[in-house]
Amino acid sequence: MSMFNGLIESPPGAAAAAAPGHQADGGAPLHVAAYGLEAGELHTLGAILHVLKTRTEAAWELGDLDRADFVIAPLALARDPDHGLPLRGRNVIPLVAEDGPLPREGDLVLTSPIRVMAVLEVLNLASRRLGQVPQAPPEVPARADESAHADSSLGAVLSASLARTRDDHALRIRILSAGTIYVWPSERRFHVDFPLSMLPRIVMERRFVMTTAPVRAPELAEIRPQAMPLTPLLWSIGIAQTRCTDPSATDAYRLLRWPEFDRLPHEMGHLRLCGVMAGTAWTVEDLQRHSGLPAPFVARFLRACVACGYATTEPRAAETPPAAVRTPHASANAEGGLLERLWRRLGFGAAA
Amino acid sequence: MAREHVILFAGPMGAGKTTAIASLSEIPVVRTEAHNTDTDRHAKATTTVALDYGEITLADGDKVRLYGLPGQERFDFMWRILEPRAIGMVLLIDNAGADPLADLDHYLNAFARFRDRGAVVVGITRSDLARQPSIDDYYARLRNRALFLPVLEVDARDPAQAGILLSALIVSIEARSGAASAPA
Repeated sequence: MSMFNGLIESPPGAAAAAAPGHQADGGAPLHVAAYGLEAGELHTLGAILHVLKTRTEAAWELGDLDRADFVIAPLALARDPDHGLPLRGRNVIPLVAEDGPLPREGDLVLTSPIRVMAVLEVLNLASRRLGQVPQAPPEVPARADESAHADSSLGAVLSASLARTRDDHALRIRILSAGTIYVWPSERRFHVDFPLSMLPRIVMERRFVMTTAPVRAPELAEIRPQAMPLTPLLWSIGIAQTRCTDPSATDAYRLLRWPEFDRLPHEMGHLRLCGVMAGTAWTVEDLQRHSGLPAPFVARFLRACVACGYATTEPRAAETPPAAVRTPHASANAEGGLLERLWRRLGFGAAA
Repeated sequence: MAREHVILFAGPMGAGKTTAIASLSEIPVVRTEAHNTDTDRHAKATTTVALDYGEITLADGDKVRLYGLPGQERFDFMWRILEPRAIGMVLLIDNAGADPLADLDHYLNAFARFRDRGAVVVGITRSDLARQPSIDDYYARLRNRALFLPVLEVDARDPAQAGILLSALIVSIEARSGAASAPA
């Protein structure tokens, strides 16, 4: 396995990428270097940068390590105290294996094998970090649902698409790292050709191709009999750490039934929220306060429950419901944190 | 000092009480089974005549004691012995039984006094063999009784699923405990 340190070899015509006309703010182009990539990766990256020369938000040039604004380097090398020494103090875009941890929204990470859209995305994020992209003109603040849709994760995009797809069409989503999801929105059914257990990870994916097709298309008709209710997909989208529309602060949420935890991914906090909500409608604020769980966690749980039909909203109660005086933390202590201890004992993972 | 937490497993014969306890228990389940003479109700060869017992030891030495109650009413004296010590009950209903919703009613009535002071979760077993009644049907039946209890499908042979059911019960116990200790 050969390793190359230093510059990415400029592909033919790479100089054009730095043409003044491509500079978003009319300033100097930004520079990206590669360090420690394999020969194949270097070649791919060079070709991709050539393709992207007119498509990035700011102009990027290939540069050497000393003048690079960002350096793309393998994660292991960036963390190596000896071999990674030349990267110290530099802005590093780590290159991680595809089966490694998924980057979170906004992370500057590139996954291997290197792909065009991933490079485009990471360079745009990088230029925004450096303030090289002109500020957007003042606009009317985006509505909550619009800001949610600004999230490019599959979960956020799919949520928006479900409501917009024509009744006689289905969605086909190809995920490069996994397989294909087929969704029949009007029938509220879906099919995946990869293990369902991958869904929580897949809905965070940002590299996918979504198309629509008539439900009578042969490809769809063939797999339609294998489709299942949409619940596992909606649940995975709901609890995913994606941007989402905040639950209404003025409505109260009532749990109609417990989620099917025997088949849906869950954490201990989800069970605790069900226990707190039992039989009473709760506002988000009360539920967060009385469960002691982080507000985003509570919001995602409610989002998932409403999407799957496990919970519904009601106008806020005029009076404080009896359950609102509950103190689950105190109750947990009264039982000596029995749930936490049992959860660990049963091997369900960290109790947090 | 180590404490004990007593959990009861109740339900009709063949619902999977012994199996669920075996899935959860860290010790071989203490069984008191006898030849099943009530084959009209269930075809299994043996059935619990006194109780089943299993346990889970927590990190601090506390023990969760799991007692399976006999499903036949003629042994209901065992229910009365164990009930006062229990903090919660797992009610298992065999979805492939003759009338699962009637079984639910029967056991909720039988343990009405316990239900007033302890937490109850409902586990639906063998739903792979019979899809009806659905989980929604069980919730509807509970709503008719002004009850909101967790109802979860469970494969009693699967330790993870049995663990989720037990965890749901503990959550309900803690929530009830909090409500009881809250200022009036």
